[in-house]
Amino acid sequence: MTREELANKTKKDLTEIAKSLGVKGTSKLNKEELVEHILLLDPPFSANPEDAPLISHHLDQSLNGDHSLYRQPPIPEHLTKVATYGDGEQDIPSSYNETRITLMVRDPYWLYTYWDIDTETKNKLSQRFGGFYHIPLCIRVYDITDVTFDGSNSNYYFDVTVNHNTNSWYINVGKPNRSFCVDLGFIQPDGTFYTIARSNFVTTPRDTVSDVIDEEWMLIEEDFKRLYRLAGLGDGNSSMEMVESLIRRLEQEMSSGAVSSISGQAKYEPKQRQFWLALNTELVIYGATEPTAHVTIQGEPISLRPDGTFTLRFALPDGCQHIPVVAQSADGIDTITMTPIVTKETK
Amino acid sequence: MMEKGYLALVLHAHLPFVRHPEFPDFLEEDWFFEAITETYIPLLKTYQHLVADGIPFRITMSLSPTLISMFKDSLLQQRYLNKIEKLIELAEKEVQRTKWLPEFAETAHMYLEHFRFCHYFFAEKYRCDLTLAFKEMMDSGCLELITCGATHGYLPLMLNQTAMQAQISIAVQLHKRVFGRAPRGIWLPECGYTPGVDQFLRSEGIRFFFTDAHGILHASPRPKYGVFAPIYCPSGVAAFGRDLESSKQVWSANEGYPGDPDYREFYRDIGYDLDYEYIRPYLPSSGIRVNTGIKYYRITGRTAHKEPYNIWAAREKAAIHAGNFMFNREKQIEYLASVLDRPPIVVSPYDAELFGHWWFEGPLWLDYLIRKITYDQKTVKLITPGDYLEMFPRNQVSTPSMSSWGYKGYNEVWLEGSNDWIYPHLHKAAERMVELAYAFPNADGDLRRALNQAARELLLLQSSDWAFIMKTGTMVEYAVRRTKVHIHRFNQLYDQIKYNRIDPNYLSELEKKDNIFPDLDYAIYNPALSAQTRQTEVAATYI
Repeated sequence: MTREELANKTKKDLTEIAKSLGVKGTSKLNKEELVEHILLLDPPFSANPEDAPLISHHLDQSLNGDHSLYRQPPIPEHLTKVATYGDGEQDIPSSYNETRITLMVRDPYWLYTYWDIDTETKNKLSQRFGGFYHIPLCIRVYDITDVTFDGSNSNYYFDVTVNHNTNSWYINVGKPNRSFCVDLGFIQPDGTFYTIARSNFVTTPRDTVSDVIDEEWMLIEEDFKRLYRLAGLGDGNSSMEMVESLIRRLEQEMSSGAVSSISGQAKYEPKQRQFWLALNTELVIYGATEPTAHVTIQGEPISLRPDGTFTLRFALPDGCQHIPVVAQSADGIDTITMTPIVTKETK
Repeated sequence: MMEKGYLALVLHAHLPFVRHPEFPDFLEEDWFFEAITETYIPLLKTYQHLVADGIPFRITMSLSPTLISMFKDSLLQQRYLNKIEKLIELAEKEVQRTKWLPEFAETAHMYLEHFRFCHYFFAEKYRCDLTLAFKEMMDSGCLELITCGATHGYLPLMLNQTAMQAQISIAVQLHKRVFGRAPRGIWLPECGYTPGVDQFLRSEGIRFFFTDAHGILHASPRPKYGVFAPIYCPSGVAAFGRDLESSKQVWSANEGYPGDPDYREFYRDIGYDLDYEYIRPYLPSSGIRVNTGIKYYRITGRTAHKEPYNIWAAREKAAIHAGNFMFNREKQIEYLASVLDRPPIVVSPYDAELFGHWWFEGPLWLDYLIRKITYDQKTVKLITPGDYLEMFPRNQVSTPSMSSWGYKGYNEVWLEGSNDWIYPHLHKAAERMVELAYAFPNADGDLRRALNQAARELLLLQSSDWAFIMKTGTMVEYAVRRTKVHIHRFNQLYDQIKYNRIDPNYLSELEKKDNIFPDLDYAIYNPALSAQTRQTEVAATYI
């Protein structure tokens, strides 16, 4: 039931309805509270939600009449008065002063690592190797797939030299479905590797279908290829084709701006021409009469401001417009008609 | 069983938490207001019409906890009312202004009618809380509501296990409180999966999630049915794969439906087109031109010249496209059913905000599609993944591959030159939060409030939206500022808590600004405590 329907009922009826919906302590509630409870438990759901009279009644009430009806009470000032961003609010630490290296996966072929070295370690290294910034830092990348890594039993490793100006690096490992770990350190003059920090372990994702087949859930190769194709990932099960197809698809999505919903604001630029002109004509009709008068323009009633003035604005097409303005006094005795005629042409 | 296979339509509704009480109006809050007018109310209206007409259907929708929190926020509710009232006023003027332009007048009337309806729907029917409308549709049996990460944190790059668990756990708690029942499924933020995530879902009682197509196709062992049946992760949680063919038809700017010449052009808005003095009262206080939502042109073609929008031609086209989509699904499912030894499921997930906001006719298309599927064919039946699992509980066990639905299919959108600088801070903040929760297990008073607020700052910092916006290049400044501000606030609180210097004024200031999840309990970040309570909950769910 809608608010209106409920409002027309007696308190006794409302109490019955509220009870049937399981509202407790109905005797203590007044009529308005009962309506609120009922609406909360049994939201109005008319078969035709576009019921025009309902909407216009609602709008009459809430737009022109009693604002408090549908509004929450205003938020107390002490709650809304919140300071804006101070200048310092965006200060963030440039370092947390700890010795650590972290490894992340970007895709089947690339890793990302970032690191930091605390002052104490820097000083220690500095003393021992004669100046921290002279140490040729490098990242040692270990492939630790299927091993319990102890620092020396990797499948293979390679080094990436990094400079002191950076504290992060993208590493091209080119190996899907393998596990990796990195050390931050440097090669000592005797050829051994000095580890400053060791990262967490990560595994790159597979870039193609798995070779592991569960006997119970087998499908012949031919059929699987067909399925793969049906899934929209191109003709074979090679990763390149899949990636290409994904890229094509996603480029389309990005260009439609649709991927992450609503963030983009439109920039309207009439394109394709070096120089352009957009021109529109609008007509403003304004006037004043007794505040109580009835005024129509081209036969349609318009509303006056409290002081009896009015303003109307029309987009003006080419052609001729007769615009009869009729004002009638509140008692219906006096009527004044004025009819501007406007002709517009564009050459 | 008459049908040969199933179609699961999944709409993912999410917006980042944007709420700025410190400003009288704030441009980015418009994302939420526009989405209410253009997407959420039109979708709800569509569902209600279908229910009113007695049409049985099933559709899945994820509502992110940040979006739910905004629906529930009284400041934003009030601001939406102001917004829609201004729009009604503008639309009234537009009806007047276009009186002599028959090619625009009808469209102007359409907007006025819609805005008036929105006001009625929002204020009168649901007393400013649209979660009630979603709940009503859930209770009517047509909508399966699922959850998402608490603040849409991108899990594959989060690393900290406790923080990942918290994203899921907070989301499930909020969902239960708002909708009165636990979600059976989840939309992982950005569809981002990495092996192990399913364990967290399992411990919150979640039964299913989604990955992009290659997440399932590259699962190991090789999945027998490709993306056309779910697989169970070793944890027992089911994973459904996105079908690319049906996605493309709706998503793609070139081949997809939304680019049709008869559909409404998004980029011609009176906020940009009309006389500045006239439109000025409806622009933000800074006075820059923005979209108002009133747009009079159709896409027309790849030209700068645009023809006036014709609502009847657009309706007709939406019906044709719905028919085409249905026909393609019929053919797809007939073929799949002939190849596979079980009824296939085709999973078509979309961003909810595509419908109505970007693709104005989207909700109408959905309306036609559901009606046609119900009455015009027998091959395909609409289903939700939860229902499918109940009908087909026996599925292959396999581990999906790390994947997302972002550009190139992995983590690159959220980890590249423009945004990689955030991760040292995100990871450190998560680690510090765990440290605090562990060090102060039973706090009360200001200490407790400070710990809870620190958790809120961490969560807001983790929203994947910031990294995404930095990458895509619009509104970058805002995303950078939000990231830095939450890092700063978190670290301030961390120091204040750790060194016993809590500033109550600063704290209550932050509580007012970043007021998401009022019931949050920081203990969720205590690895010792949270593991314990979770086990009891899980036991309760499964025994």
